[in-house]
Amino acid sequence: MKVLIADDSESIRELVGMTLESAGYEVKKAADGVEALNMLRAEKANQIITDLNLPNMDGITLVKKIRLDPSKAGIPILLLTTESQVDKKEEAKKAGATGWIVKPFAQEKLLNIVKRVVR
Amino acid sequence: MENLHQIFIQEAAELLSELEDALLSFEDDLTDEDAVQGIFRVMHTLKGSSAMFGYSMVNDFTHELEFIYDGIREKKIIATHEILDLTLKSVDHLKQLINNPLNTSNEVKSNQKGLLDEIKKHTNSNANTFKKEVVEAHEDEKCYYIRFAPNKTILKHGTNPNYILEDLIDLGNGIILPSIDRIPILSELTYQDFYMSFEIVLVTHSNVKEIEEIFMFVEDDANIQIHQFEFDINLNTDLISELRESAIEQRPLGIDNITKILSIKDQDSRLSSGFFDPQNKGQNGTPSKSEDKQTDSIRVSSLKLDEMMNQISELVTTQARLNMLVNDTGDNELSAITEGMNKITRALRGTAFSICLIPIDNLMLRFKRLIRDLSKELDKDIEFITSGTETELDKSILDKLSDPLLHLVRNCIDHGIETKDQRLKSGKATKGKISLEAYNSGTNVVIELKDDGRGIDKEKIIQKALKNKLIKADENLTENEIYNLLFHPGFSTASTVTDISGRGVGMDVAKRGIEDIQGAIRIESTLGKGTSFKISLPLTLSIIDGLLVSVGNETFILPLQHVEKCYELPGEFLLNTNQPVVLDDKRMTVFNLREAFGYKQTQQKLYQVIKTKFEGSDIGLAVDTIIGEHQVVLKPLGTMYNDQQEYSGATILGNGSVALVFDVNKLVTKLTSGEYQKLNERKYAKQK
Repeated sequence: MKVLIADDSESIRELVGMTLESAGYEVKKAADGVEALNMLRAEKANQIITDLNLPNMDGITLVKKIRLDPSKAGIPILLLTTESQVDKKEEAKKAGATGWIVKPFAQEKLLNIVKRVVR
Repeated sequence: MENLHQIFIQEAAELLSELEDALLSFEDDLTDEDAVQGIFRVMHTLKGSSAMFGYSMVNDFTHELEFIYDGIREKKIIATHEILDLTLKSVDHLKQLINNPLNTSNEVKSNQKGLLDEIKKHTNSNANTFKKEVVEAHEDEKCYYIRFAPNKTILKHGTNPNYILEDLIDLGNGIILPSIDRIPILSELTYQDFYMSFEIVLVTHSNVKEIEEIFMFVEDDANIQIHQFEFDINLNTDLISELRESAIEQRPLGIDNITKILSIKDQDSRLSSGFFDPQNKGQNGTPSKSEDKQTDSIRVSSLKLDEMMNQISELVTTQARLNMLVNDTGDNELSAITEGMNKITRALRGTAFSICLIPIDNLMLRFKRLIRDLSKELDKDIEFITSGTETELDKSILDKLSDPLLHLVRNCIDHGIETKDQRLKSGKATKGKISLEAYNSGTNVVIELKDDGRGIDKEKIIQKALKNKLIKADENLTENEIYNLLFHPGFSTASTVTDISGRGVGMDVAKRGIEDIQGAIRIESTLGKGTSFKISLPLTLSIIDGLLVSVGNETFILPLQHVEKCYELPGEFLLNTNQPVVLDDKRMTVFNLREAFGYKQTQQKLYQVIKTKFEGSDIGLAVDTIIGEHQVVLKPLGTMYNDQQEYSGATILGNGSVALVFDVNKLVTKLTSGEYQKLNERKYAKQK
């Protein structure tokens, strides 16, 4: 199971990576939206986790772009968001996101939500 | 984790310096929207990661600070130098928090508070509190109806509806009823769209909130209804199959229908279980399989049933005569009508039969008890497995079966299954297994009694038989013939006669009991591994499939279950009565029925010989002609003929004549004992 995490914070990338890898997932890390798309073009991912705020391309745009590509249809995309961004959830959903993870999150919660959308 | 902390601290330091930079350039141009975006993004990132790594003060602080720039971004707040000042002071504060995370002195705290107050003035924000989920106390199990109808486009969001169904069922116990009513025809089907919808009946301890949580990502992508039932439900297989079956007819069922089904079943389980009362003389009107939908039953006296069966049999017979007559007249219209009547009569007979059929499981239950008690008494550990308990048998057959079967089971426990020690020594599990299996095979019901005990020792049997002079020393017996010695009266391999079995009264009585109900029993065994008794019984006693034969100027019926093969034999071979004849490379004794019944011997060119089995060996019965297969209604001969043995009854043929029906076992017994010869001799003696 390959998961792509796109977040501009290195510490979050590392934390998510560590959490998921310990559960047996393979994790690829991207620091921004462009890098994320490039990685997806090179390698398929079973799931994508992205922060809402990314440099060069924000999270929602990234979701839209991913959804435009038919070869990536049906891949679950989770957004990392803070609880203050409720309206963003709507927007994200419309753009084609599958679900969201509210920051801050405990490691276990991350794993549970990931399991909810990909098995 | 240490490593990650280091990374965070480093990252935070970088972010803060980036932030400072961005703020300074923003100050130069307060209209720069990109700058605002950048500032916001950094704050957001810092807020997120600080929370992850436990820097709550940083998190809280940045949380509020972020609001300002969000407001500026949204053009709700106007950027001023005052705000900039405040922000830069905040950055200083943040630097301190990051560099000295352990410093939670009052100075730091009051500094933070001061700044926060300032910030809040600009944002008018109330502290954003987490909506604390009210955790409801878990109660006992509840039953829910959940309707989950995803939109067509749900797959496009990367959602897999299966996961949702899985998560729902994981909450407790439930059944999913899918509906395919929205699936279009093939040409209109697109693979990216989702057409299924689901109804779920779920029994769980979870509350509504927990159920809603499962749908949290798909609230907007599906039509979701959750309804809690007021009554308790026991989701057993009965209920589940009821729901499934109803769903076949109508999808989706809808909450009203499901409520109806559930509430009916709820009442059901409260009523007394089952109508069937085996001890009672009266008989149930409707035998039902345990999964049957609710049906009404009436008690009916067996006398009435017998009478009904009689009348129907008469009807069948009269029908047959009518048929013959109509055939002769050649009237087409009449033919058609009688054909129609035939069908109805046959159906009527079938129904009448099924009324008298009872599932065998009641008998099995009695055995469970017996086995338990007996195994305790003998200190053996035995597991009793039954299968096919819904197989049905005629009540009268069932009644007569119980004693023989009971004895066979006793035998299994007593002689078949070894003691725990013996089993251990032979490498078997200490728990012995006895299985009783019932199933339909053609027009018979087969009951197999198997055990994994010590098996039958053929040598021992032969020894005992020799000792009791049941066989001669030089006799070559087939395996079957050896096993069948067990059924010989007066035979017993038990060295001691126990209270339970071994008196030699058991097995032969059991066999006769089975034969009385037109059944047959066959033994198979492997020494050391186990034994199996296979009993085959007819579905009913009153209708026989038979071979219509003629001997002399009489016609007889030979029950088909005893007919193994038919041969043609030239008359010369039967010149000597009881002369062994070789047929199919096997020697068998052939009895000339014509002669036995006292008819003059004619030089008949060909005889028809019917091969049957008698006590394990092949026997041939020679008759004049074989007319054909007939299904006949067996009628008792009447009390005047109670003394005779070889006829189990008689039947009225289509042409109105009477044919006697052979009881093959008894017939052959009489033939082998030479009784007919004696009778004939006496007859001739008188005639002379």
